[in-house]
Amino acid sequence: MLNYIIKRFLGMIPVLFGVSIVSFAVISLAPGRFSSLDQAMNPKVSAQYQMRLNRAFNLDKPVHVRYFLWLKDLARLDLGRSFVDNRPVAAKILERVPVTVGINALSLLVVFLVAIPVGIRAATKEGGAFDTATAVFSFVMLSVPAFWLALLLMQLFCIHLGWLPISGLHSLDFDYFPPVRRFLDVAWHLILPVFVSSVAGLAVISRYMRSSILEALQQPYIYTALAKGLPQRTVLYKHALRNALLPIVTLAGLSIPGLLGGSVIFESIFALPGLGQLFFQAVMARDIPLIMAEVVLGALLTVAGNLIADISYACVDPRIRYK
Amino acid sequence: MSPLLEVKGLKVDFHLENRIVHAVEGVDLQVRRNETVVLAGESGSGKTITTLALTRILPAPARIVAGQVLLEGRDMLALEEKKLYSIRGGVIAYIFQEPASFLNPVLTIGEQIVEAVIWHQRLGRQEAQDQGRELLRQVRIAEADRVFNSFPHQLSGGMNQRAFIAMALACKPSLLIADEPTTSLDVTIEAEILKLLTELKEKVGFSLLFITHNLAIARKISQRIYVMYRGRVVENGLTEDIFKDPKHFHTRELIAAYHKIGKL
Repeated sequence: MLNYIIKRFLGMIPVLFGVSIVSFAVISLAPGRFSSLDQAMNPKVSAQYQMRLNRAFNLDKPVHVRYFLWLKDLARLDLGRSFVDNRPVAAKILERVPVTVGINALSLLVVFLVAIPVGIRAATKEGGAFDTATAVFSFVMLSVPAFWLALLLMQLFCIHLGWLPISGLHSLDFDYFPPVRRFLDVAWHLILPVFVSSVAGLAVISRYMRSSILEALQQPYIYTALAKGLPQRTVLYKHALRNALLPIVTLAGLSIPGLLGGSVIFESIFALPGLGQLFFQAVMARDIPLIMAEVVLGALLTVAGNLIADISYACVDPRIRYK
Repeated sequence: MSPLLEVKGLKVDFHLENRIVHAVEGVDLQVRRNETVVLAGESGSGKTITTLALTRILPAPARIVAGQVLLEGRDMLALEEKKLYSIRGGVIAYIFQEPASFLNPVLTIGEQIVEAVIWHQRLGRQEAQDQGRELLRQVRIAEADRVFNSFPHQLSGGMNQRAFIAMALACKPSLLIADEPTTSLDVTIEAEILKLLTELKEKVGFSLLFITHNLAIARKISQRIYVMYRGRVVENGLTEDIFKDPKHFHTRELIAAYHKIGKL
């Protein structure tokens, strides 16, 4: 098992190289440079000023040279400095991580904690009222764009009813609150974003869980469990559920990279200072070090997420042993 | 003395999406104490469904529409579901055709035996585990401890079937229903399993209802045979009589197949 993990880690290296080369090339090929953006806004920006900027950020050098310079820094775990404000990229990303990861982790938790029992119940009462209701809910929620749903819910809960705050992460007077009230304030602000970002996952995972249970309940070993005289409950929760959860574990592992993937639209609607917003701003400003850092981070998490999914799969399914 | 099991006019329908299929159309059969009875017939003749109906563990679209299943005089079809828990495994136990798929792939052999022991005999885990290992030794598994901790996919088909028999006998049933338990095994293993079953039957003392389409096995192990064809029992009697003078054409087909194999 350990050998397998080491081998997989080594296998990650060429993938990450590939990702970084392709994304570096794409960004460099994209029209517009950091140095020319000022001119678009302000025609008075002189050619000398542009050249100075280009030289300062190595933008006057060919792409491959810039790539290797970037790689050299990365090898020393230096992600470089942002073109925009000259702050270290690592610091800019780190300060955004809690918001995005917090919301995504919460919504992932909500998705699995709610979808699994819902799926089980829908499967055990197949074709019943609960099953039909959750099916309709799932199909509607999958078809509705999240930003539209977010706007509708904001109108209902924030404007008409006034129960929830409309945007942001905390109230204006947050700094004067005692700790408990701060926590409650943040929780209050997170209700709507977490709900909206969970909805699609809920729809998918609950349906998936349902069909997984239904499939498990038709397997021959279920007859064995029944023939042993085990009560319905044990047959369902021990024999069927253990097997039905196998594919769900894989899905959970595969959602790990999504933890850092902030949604641009979503964070804009709720005015949340997350990674999605940061990434979007970086792209608009052609801020190459910041863009590259986010892309590499995303790639790293995707590959690591796949590995975690495979390992956790081996932990829950005794038939799978990696060599 | 009344028979251990008496089935009268059992009818099972399958309610499929757009039609109803009559899978079992009025089956009568009896099993006496310590007797070995064979239920023979081609695939799809309703043998398996008949035996699953005895303890009502039928697949979802199947419904019992008529009949009586008297086990020691009690009608199983009139009992409420919860009362059946102690009868399944405790009085009537099953072994199935392919142990590999009828054993739960994510639970160890030991756990699958132990859970039945705990549930039926209300034992503590430690005692149940000791009993589980003892059961494995009883079905002649040499490395009982290793098998106890193994998952089904780590064992051979024959080993799995032995473990399955141990699991079925865990709660000392009065009737063991064996649904083609050797069909998926090769011939030498088949002979070993049959020998094991007949030995255990003598030693432990239970009735055996054995489903097969192979009359060679029927002749070797059974006192009586029921022949099923298209959901009905078309012929029944003492094994020797049926071989001597088969009445129904399907019985003759099965016997012809037996002779053909004998000549090969």
